[in-house]
Amino acid sequence: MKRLLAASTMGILAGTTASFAQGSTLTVAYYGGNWGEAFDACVAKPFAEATGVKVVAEIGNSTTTLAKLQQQAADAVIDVAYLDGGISELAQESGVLQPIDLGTLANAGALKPQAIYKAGNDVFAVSAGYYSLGLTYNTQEVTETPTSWDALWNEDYAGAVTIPSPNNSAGVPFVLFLNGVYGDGTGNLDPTFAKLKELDAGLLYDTSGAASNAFQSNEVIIGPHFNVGAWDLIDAGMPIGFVVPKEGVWATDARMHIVKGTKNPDAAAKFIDTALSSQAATCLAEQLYLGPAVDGVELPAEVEKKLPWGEGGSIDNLKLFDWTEVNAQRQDITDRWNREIAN
Amino acid sequence: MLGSRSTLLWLLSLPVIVFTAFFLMPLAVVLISSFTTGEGDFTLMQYGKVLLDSYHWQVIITTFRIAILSTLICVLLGYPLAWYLVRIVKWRTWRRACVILLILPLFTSNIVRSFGWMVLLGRSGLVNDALRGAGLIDRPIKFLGTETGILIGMVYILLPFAVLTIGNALAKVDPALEQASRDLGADPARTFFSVTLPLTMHGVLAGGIIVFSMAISAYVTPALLSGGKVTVLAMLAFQQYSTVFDFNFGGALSITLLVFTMALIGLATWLSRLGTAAEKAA
Amino acid sequence: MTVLAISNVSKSFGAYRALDNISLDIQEGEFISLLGPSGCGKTTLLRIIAGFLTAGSGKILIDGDDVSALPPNRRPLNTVFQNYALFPHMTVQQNVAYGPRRAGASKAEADRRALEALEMVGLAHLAPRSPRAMSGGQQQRVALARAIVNKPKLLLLDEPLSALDLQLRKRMQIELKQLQGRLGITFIFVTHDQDEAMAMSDRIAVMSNGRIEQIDEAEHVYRRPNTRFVADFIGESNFLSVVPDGGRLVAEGGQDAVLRPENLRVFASAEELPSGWQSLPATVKAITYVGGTSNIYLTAQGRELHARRYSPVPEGITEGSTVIAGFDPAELHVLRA
Repeated sequence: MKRLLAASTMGILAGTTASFAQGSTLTVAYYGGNWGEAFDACVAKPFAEATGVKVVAEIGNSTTTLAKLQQQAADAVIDVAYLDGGISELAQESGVLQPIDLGTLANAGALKPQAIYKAGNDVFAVSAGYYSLGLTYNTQEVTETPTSWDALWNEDYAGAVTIPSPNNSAGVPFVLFLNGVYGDGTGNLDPTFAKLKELDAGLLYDTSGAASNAFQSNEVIIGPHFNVGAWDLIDAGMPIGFVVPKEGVWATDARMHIVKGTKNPDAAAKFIDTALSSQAATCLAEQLYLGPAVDGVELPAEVEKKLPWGEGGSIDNLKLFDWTEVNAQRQDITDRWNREIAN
Repeated sequence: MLGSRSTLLWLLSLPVIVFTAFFLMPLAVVLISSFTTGEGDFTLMQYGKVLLDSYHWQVIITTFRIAILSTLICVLLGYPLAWYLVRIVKWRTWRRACVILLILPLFTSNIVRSFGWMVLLGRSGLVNDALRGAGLIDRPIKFLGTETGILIGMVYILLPFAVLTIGNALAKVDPALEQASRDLGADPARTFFSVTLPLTMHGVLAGGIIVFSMAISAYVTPALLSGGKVTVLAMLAFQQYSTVFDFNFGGALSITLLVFTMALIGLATWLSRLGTAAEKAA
Repeated sequence: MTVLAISNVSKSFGAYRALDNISLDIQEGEFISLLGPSGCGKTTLLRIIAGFLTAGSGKILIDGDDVSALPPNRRPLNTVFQNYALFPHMTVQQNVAYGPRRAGASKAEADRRALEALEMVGLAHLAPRSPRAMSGGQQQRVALARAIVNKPKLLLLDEPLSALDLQLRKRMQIELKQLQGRLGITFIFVTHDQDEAMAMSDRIAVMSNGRIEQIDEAEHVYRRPNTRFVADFIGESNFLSVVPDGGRLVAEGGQDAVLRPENLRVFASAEELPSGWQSLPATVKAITYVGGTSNIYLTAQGRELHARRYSPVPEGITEGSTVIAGFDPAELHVLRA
C-alpha cells in the first residue's frame, strides 16, 4: 500500500489520486479459455493481492472487445483491454485508447524495444507476450527435422500439408511472411501466390483448433501452427515437433491497453506494471508459452524451448509485421486467395 | 370483455414483436447495408461487384450444385428410409430407436462431428484404410476438401429432415388406396408410381424444400469439410463479416443468396404445380 | 357351377385364431353375405379371398384354379372397399379407367369403358369431377363402377353401405341387388347388419369366432337357426327348454328350442287358446308400441319372454296382469344338440 501511494504521488495526473484510492475494482477485458485462466493466475491475482483492488474480468475475443470499447466510448466501463496485434492498431485508429506513460511504470525499463507501440510520441500499447506460427510436423511421418519452409513443398508430404486461410488471424500475415521468403523483394505477391498454388495442401484451416484436430488425427503431417497449439499437442504425448526454420517465423503478440476515459487510471497503470513484472512473464511463459516482452526473465530449459522463437532462439528470429500494413492488404489478399487458392 | 380483448391483442403482439425484432430487423439491416457504400450513400455497386464477376458466378454455381445434389440424394435415400420406418418396422421400440439414431447427428457439436469426419473420411481414416487394406486403391482417396466430402456431410446432417417429412406424408396414405390399386390389377411398382408417390409428393416436395434451404445456406458443414478448398456463397458472405469487415459487400452476397434461393424454390413449386395440372388434364 | 371354393382355410394373428377351418363353396351368379359381429372373421376371410392376406392353411380356388399364391393384382376379382378408397389425386373417370388401363386397354378404350361403367351407376355426367367433391352416395357409386368395369368373375364388397344414412342405404341395397342381377357377377357381401343381409342375399353365411355357424338361405337362417348364436344374432328369440319329442315344454333340462316373438301369443284366459297349442302362465311386465307393432314382455316360470303382435293388444291385457302365453308347437324350432 505504501508503494502504491508512492506511485500515485509520483503520478503526473494528480487529480486521479483520489479515484485510485477509492477504486476497489478494475475491469479488464481479456480472452476466454486457457488464455483467460493464465492471465487471471499470472497477472490479475498478484495484482489484486498487492493492491487490494478486485479485478473484474470482461471475457471476449479481440474483435468483440473492440466493439465494446467503441460502444462505451462515452462512458468507459473497461479500464484495461487485452487485444491482439492487428486489432490493437484498429483500436488506436478508432480513438478508444489512452496513452500509457511508461515513466510511471516501475517495470517499463525492462521492456524490449519491439514491445512498445507508439502512435507519434504516445505509447498506445505494450506487449503482453509473443506467440509465433512455427513449422509444426508429425515426427513419425517427417523423420528428418525440417530446417526450412521449403519442406511444405516436399513431395512426400503432398496432400498432408496445412496452412492457415485468410479467415484465420494468421492467414494474411502468413502470406506476407512467405512473400518475404519467396518474393522478389518488391512486395509483388505473384511469385508467392504461384508458389501457394503449387502447394498440395490437405487443409486450409480457419481456426487453430481445426489445425490441432488435423494434426491429432494424422490428417495433416506438416504445416505452420501456433507454438501454443503445437506444444499443447506435444505435451499431450502426440508425436509432434515444432521448429523455427532458418527463414524465421511470423509472430505476433497479445497487447495491453489503457482505455480512454478510464475512471481508474492509476490502478490500470499498476495492472500493466504488474503484467510487465518478471514473475508475470515467467508465469505466462510457463502456462501459455508466451515469449516474454521484457528482458531478464530466467526460464527453465523445459519452458525455454517452447517459446515462440524456439530452442536457442531470440526475439530476433520473429518476423513482427506492422499490422497497419497487413490490414491494408487484407481485402486484396483474401480476395485473391478466394479466387486462386480456395477452389 | 374489453379487458380480455386487449389481453388477446397484447398476447398477439408479443410474437409479432419478436418476429420483427429478431427476423425482420436484422434482414432489413442487411438489405440496407447491401445498398450502401462504406460511407452510407446509396449504391448498386455492391451488387455489381457480386454479379459482374465470373468468380462469384462460379461460387454461386458450386453452391447450388452442392445444395441440389444434397437435396436429390436426401430425397432418394430418405424415401426408402421413411418407407422402412413407416411401413416395415412394426415394433414401436425399434422404430423409436431408428428415429433417435437418425436425428442423433443433430445433437453432436460441430467440433466432435468434424473430428469424426476426419477419423472416417480422412487421408488415413477408416474408409481409406479399408479400401487400401482391400487392395482397391494405392493412394488414399481425397474426401475432405472436396465437394464429395461436403455432400457426404450435408446428407448426413439433412437426411433426417427428408425422412421425417416424407415419413409423415407416407403414414397419412390410406393403405386401402394401395390395396385398391393392387385389386384393380396394378403390380407393386405400378401402385407405387401411380398411387403412393403422387399422394406423398407434397411430403417429398416439403422435405426437398427444407433440405434445399438448409443446404444452400449451410455454413458450418461446408466450412468444416471443405478444408478451405471449396467455397460456397455462405462462406464468402461470412468471411466478409468476420475477417474483412466489409458489411456492405457481405450484405450484398447474403441478399444474392437469398434471392437466388427463393427464385429456385419458387420455380420448383411452379413446376410441380404445372406437373400436377398436366397430370390432371391427361 | 362353383366359382369360388374356400377349402379348410385357417388364419391366426399371433395367439388369436381369426379363422378356424373355413370351407365354403359359392355358385356362379350368387349373392352371398358374410354376416357376423365385428371380430367374427368375415373381413379377414374377404381379405384372404382378395389376396391382401395369406391364409395360414387351406386353399382358395376360383373357377377351379388355386389362387392362394397369387398376388391381388393377378386374381380375377375386384373389391368395393369400406370407405370406397377412391384415388383422391385422380378424377372420377381416371379412377374408373384405372382398372382397364392395368388390364392393357388403350387410353381411349379405357376411357370409353369407364364412361360405360359410370353410365351404369348413373354418374357419367360427373366423370371429370374430383371424387373428393362428391357426396358419400356418389362416391359409393364411383367405387362400384370402378370395381365392375373390368367385369370380374367375383365382386367382393366390404361393408360398402355402412357409411351411408339409413334412407340412402335402403335405396342402394335395391340398386346393388338389381345391378348384380343385370351383370350376373357373383357378389360376396360383408356386413354386420342382419337386415341388410336378409334383404339382399341369396344365401347368408353367419360367422362367429372365426367359424361359419350356418350357411343357408335367408329365410332358413331365420326360421331354422342351427345354433343359439345364430338364433340370437338374427332377429329376436325366446329360448325354451324342451324335450325332443313333440316339443313338449319342460321346466328344466332337455334341449334348447327357439320361438320367434311373432309366434308367441298372449291370451287373457286359457279358454281362448287354440286347440293343439301349448301354453304357460305368465305375468305382463311391460308393453311397448313401435309403429304398428306392439311388444309384450312377460315373465313365465322365471324366464323372460317376448311376444310381438301386428294388431292392437286385446282388452284386459295390461302391465301386471296375469295372462296365458301360448304357441303352436310347429313353430317351435329345436336347436341341434
